[in-house]
Amino acid sequence: MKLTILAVAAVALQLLAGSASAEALKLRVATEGAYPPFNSIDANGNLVGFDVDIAKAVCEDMKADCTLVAIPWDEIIGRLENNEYDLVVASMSYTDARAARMEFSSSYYRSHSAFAGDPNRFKDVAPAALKGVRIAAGKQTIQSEYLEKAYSESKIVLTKDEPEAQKLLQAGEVDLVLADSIDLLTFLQSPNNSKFDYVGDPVTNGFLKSSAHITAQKGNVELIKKVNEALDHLRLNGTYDRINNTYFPFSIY
Amino acid sequence: MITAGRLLIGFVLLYAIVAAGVSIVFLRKIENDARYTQEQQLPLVLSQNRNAIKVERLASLARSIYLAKDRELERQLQLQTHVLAQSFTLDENDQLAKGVQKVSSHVKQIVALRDQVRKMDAGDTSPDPAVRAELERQALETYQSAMRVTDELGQSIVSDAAVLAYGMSGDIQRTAKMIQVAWIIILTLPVLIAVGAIYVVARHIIRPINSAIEGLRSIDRHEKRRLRLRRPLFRELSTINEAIEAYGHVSLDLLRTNSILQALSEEDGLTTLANRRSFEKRIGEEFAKATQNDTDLAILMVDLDHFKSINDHYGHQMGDTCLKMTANVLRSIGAERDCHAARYGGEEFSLVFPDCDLQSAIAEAEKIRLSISSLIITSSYDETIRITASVGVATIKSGRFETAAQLLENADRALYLAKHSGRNIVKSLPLPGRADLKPLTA
Repeated sequence: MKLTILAVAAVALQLLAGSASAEALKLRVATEGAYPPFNSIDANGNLVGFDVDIAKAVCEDMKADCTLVAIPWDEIIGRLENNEYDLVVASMSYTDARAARMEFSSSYYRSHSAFAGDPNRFKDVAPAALKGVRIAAGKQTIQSEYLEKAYSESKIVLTKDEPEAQKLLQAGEVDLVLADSIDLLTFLQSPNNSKFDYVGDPVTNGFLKSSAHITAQKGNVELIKKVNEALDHLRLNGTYDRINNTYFPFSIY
Repeated sequence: MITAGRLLIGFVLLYAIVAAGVSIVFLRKIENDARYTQEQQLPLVLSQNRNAIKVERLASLARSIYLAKDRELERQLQLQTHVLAQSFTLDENDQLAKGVQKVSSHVKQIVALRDQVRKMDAGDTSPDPAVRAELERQALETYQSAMRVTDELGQSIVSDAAVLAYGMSGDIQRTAKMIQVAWIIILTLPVLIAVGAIYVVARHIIRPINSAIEGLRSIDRHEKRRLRLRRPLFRELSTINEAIEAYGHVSLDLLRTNSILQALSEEDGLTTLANRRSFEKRIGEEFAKATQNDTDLAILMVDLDHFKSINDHYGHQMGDTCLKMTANVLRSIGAERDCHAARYGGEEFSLVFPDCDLQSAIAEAEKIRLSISSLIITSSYDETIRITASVGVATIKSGRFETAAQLLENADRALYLAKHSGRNIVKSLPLPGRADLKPLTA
């Protein structure tokens, strides 16, 4: 008798599990692939980095079946709106303009922007001190927006992505780069770039503080709610810290 | 009582609603506290925890830089320190951010001092050991100062977190206490209400019923006092009580009417002496008593002489007056000694004297005869009327009588003898079987 009940229960459980897996969420996730150490493409052509690991962990927590694609930064919002993918996990900073086009999750890391360049040439980074100075930033980034607004008398050079801007600095085609300080850390730590350093005092300007979010199509509040729950789980079960420590020497949350 | 029942049901419903409301309010409070803890306090505690780890990390970076003594390693560590120190500006904690910036500038200073040392070492002339030692001393001082700052920051974060955690547990404790008190009240109230209900039932239902039953019993016992029951609170019981009281009053009235009727049935209407029926009952009782106690018993039969002619001559009203006055004479005898007088019928009266022998009976009879003959009655025309009476006497011990009727008959015969002996005289018959004795004459 007991055995029968157990057998029935087992079958029922299998059915439940079966129906659950049949309904498993299928998600398409986009990242940039040109923003180390957050997201980049390694020698074998695989997407790697902090964002990529976070995306995978979130998918696993949501029990979702995810496919990752690399999308150029200046197309990433438009193609989300065209429903080419469901989520963007690409160190997307929150701005009001972006929030009008996408749903934002809670933040999964916080950062701030900093200038990098030759510390012997530049001490002061106030707009007045940088008249005519060539400054590079990735296009359609919060840094480019800020430069266009506050440094109108400097020569602003917009690049398709961050590595491009860094190359211009190395080549001496620009004098400074304004970028995310964590992103710059990887660049500056490279022995080839030892003549460069962070320039200027620590930035306390509110505009240059930023928080990175996962985004979804406008109106897809349900999916963002699930993502937020997943992010909370990652924070609480130690997965986040494990990923954090793989890439950074301290917590960036 | 029906109203009370409805009130009770209403109250129970109201109580349930209020209890549910209170519970919901408290559960909401718990829910809100939990949400507040989850959304506000926990992130704060977590961020404090994160900051503590970051400060610790900062300290270890500073330590590494001090110990590195390698240009490239120092640079790497300094870059990390820079980013880490800047990340503190992301939190709204000025004190922390300032402290961290101080450490960051100390670190820069250490690197600068070490650069100077390296330049001296790389120079052509051997360095002045005193200057080199001074630079090293400054580096150590700077490093120690950086360590002091990180220690202080760590301490303040830990105590902040402790204060927060204390606040959280305090909130939870207060809510728990409130819920505890609320539930004690919620659970105690019904018990108090039940006790109250039992009191009400005992006082306002059982007591009125008991008092109604007691009232009925007192009616059964023919108690003469008027029945007064307490007014019960409930209308239904009040109706029952009123019915019982009304019944008690009717019953009391009947009792009184009965006793009046009984008195009337034993009394002669004109003279208010006992009537013949009650006299015969009385003489039967006295006869039995005397026989039992072997005492004597006397009977007197008194008859007014020529009463018919008084009626004819002065009218019935005067005749009645004569009867009443005679009755008064007989009543006055009863006041002097144990005796029962009655109107036997018409102008004939009878008296019974318990424990009285023939001789004293004759003496009493003589007293009565004299009293009657000395009555002076005035008619409405101011005429003076004189009356006389003949008396027959018999006692148990003056003969052999089996029954009271025989004794009575004997007295009657003695009266007859008196009438035939010229009236206004007392007579008794000689003992039957003792013919040798002549009838006694007064």
